[in-house]
Amino acid sequence: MSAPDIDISAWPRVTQILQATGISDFSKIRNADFYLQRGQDVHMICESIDRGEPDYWSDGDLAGYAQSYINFKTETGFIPDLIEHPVYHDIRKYKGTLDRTGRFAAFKGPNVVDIKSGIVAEWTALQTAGYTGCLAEPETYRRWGLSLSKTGKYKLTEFTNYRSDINYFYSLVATVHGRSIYGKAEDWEGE
Amino acid sequence: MSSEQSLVHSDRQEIQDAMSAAQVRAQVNRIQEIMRDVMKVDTHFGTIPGTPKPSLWKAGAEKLCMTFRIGIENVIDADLSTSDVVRYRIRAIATSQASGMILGTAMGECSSDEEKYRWRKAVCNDEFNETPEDRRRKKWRKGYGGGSPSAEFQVRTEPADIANTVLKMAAKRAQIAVVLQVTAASDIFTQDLEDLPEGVREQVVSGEKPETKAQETPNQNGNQSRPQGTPISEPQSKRLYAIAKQAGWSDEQRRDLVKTFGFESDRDVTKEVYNDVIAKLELGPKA
Repeated sequence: MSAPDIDISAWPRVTQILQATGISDFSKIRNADFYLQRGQDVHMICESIDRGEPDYWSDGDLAGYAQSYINFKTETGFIPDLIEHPVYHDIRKYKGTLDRTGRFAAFKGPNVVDIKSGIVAEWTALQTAGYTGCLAEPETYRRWGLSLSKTGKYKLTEFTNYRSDINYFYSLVATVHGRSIYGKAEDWEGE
Repeated sequence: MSSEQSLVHSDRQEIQDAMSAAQVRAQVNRIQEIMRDVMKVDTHFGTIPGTPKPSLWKAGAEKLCMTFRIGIENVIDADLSTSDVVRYRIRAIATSQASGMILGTAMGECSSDEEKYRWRKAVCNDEFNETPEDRRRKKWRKGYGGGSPSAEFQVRTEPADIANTVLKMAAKRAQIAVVLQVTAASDIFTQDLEDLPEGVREQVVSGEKPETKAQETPNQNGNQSRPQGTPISEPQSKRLYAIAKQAGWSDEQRRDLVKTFGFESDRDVTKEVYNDVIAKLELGPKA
């Protein structure tokens, strides 16, 4: 996807939409900052693995998560296509960064995978639908939540009902835009 | 041999024994290498918010001792305890494990009268009420993130209960002090500021004015101020180092590059400019 000609800087991100509408709520999680940082670091390590960067994770605290991702790739034959890729929806006016698109060895067709360094929450179905909705021919994609753990194990959760998920997600997008038009103003710029 | 000749010989010997600039640099590099490759942030050292340098912790001091083959002997220099206070002054003596030569000594002291040992939270209201007035207090704490202050009911600790802790803490302080001294690492680490009570630490920190030192290094825009932002995480720091190494940067070249962004070391790099630093590193030193 090339850089957009339109100014999308003020458009809300997928994760912001889920938070602003109360679907994903981190406010009651103790040490939320710690988990947020861990999530960012695990994402960075997974990206480094995919891009073939030198190993800097094996002797660190997150080595288990790295091994978990390596196990996932080895055992499923997953080959990434887009990695940490920015996407946007020019009609619904939202944006985001999807974790991975790619293909598995066992079956044909493209996939969207969202990586979590903890559990895959129910709302990941909406999150992946939001990203998939930005892609061409979204209904051809299978959507997955990939839960990595420090033990080296991983768990894949598939979200099978794209139409339902994307309809719910679009309603959330409309809610957020509606608030800025009819109610409380939201300024997403710079976030 | 006359005493005059002996003196001349001694002076020459000292000059011969003195370390060359290259040896000093090698020692500093060695410590930084250990910090980067072996030590873990918050386990072996850590940075107290607002301080310019990381504090060396006991586990880190032990790593340096192992690296440079330094043996530490702790001796109680003075037992300053009274009936109501346990207080020890410890002398740590560092010796070379290879030659047995004494490398240096340093003192450390700890007292049960220190703020963090003197008081504990009352188990319940009854305990607080039943404690004599001169051995209990209501302690106010600042609220986090600008929140409202909160009070805690505290009673005095029994000095005997924490005598061993006080002794160990005095030994730890002496040990860290002597390691910093004999490895000449005081310019890399600061003394154990984490041991200071919060209020006192803030005073010490503000007295050191860390910003002033950082302002000595201009950033790439020629500004004298240190870039503001969130420091990168440990994995990000490790990635920076790994990418630099793969792209062929020497330690010195990497440090110089980081300085052009206005940072003293890799660990000071902020998340806001992290990707820019990585992009430069990936291009290699000759780009």
